[in-house]
Amino acid sequence: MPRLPLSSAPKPRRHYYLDTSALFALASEWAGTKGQPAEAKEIARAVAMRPFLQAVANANGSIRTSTLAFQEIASVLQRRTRNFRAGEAGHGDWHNLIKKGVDPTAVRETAKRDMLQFLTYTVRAMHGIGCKVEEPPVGALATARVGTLRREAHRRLLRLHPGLDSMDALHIVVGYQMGARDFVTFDDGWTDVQGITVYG
Amino acid sequence: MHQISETNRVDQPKKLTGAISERFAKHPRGWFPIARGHGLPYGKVGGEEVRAARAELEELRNVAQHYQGVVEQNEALRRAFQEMVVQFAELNARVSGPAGRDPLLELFPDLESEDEISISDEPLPAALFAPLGDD
Repeated sequence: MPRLPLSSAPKPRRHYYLDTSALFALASEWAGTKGQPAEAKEIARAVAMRPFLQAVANANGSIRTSTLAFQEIASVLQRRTRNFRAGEAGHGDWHNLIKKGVDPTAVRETAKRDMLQFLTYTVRAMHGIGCKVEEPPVGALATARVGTLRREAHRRLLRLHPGLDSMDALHIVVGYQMGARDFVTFDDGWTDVQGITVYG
Repeated sequence: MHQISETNRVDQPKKLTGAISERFAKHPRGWFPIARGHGLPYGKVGGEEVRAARAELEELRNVAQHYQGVVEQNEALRRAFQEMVVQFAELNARVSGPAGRDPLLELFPDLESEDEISISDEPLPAALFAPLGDD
């Protein structure tokens, strides 16, 4: 199914799952309002998403994401800021700093502060659109079974769609388990997956 | 010894046959009819009735003891259940904290009021804002 534009009318009473690319765009837009050097491309994505997400709320739908998206953003941000701060300190990048045996404490602390600051923007942006973060369902009554189903579905998706990124496949499976059949993403490769509708 | 009544006294049983011992008892003051209800068997049929009654009583006693045991077991279970409820409440209070309080807040007090978290808004490097697929 082709990707639907964000100008589409959302279906009523449905769960819409935001993947990392959507959440990152919203966080960047929020950071931009605080004077941070956000990318115009990300801001444009967020601006395009806002009316759609408002329409979802008006149609009694819900907007969700998972801790997976936060983890992905935290991971990317940590890598970027460590490299930047190591370069700023004259060590090239994080890898070189470690290789040279330099004490990484100062760079690590600064990088951690950067990452937390960005994650704070992410939380604020998410609250701004009424998005709920859910832990993938691993309740005490369903831990093993849900985990098994998730792993099997993830492998099946990757076998069926070799072009699909592994993390994107995990987002689809987790979102599906959370009850979402509609996904908002700016990544490629999602539209070949049967049973879901992709917006972006 | 049985209560005796002079009006019932007989000088001598008319017939000293085996039947006499079933109806009269020798007393220093004479022969007296054996009264019912004094715990002594009165005749063959009466003895069976008493034995049956005793057997029934014994059975009832056994049933009562059985149910007494059940009641005591139930009481023990009830006490154990109450203790469990109390323990669960204590555990729940320890895990959940006071009513309406998120247990996570016990671990991370700073989360209690997100609005109070100070964001420095220090300028972040532009490299952090590059589109996700760019690195």
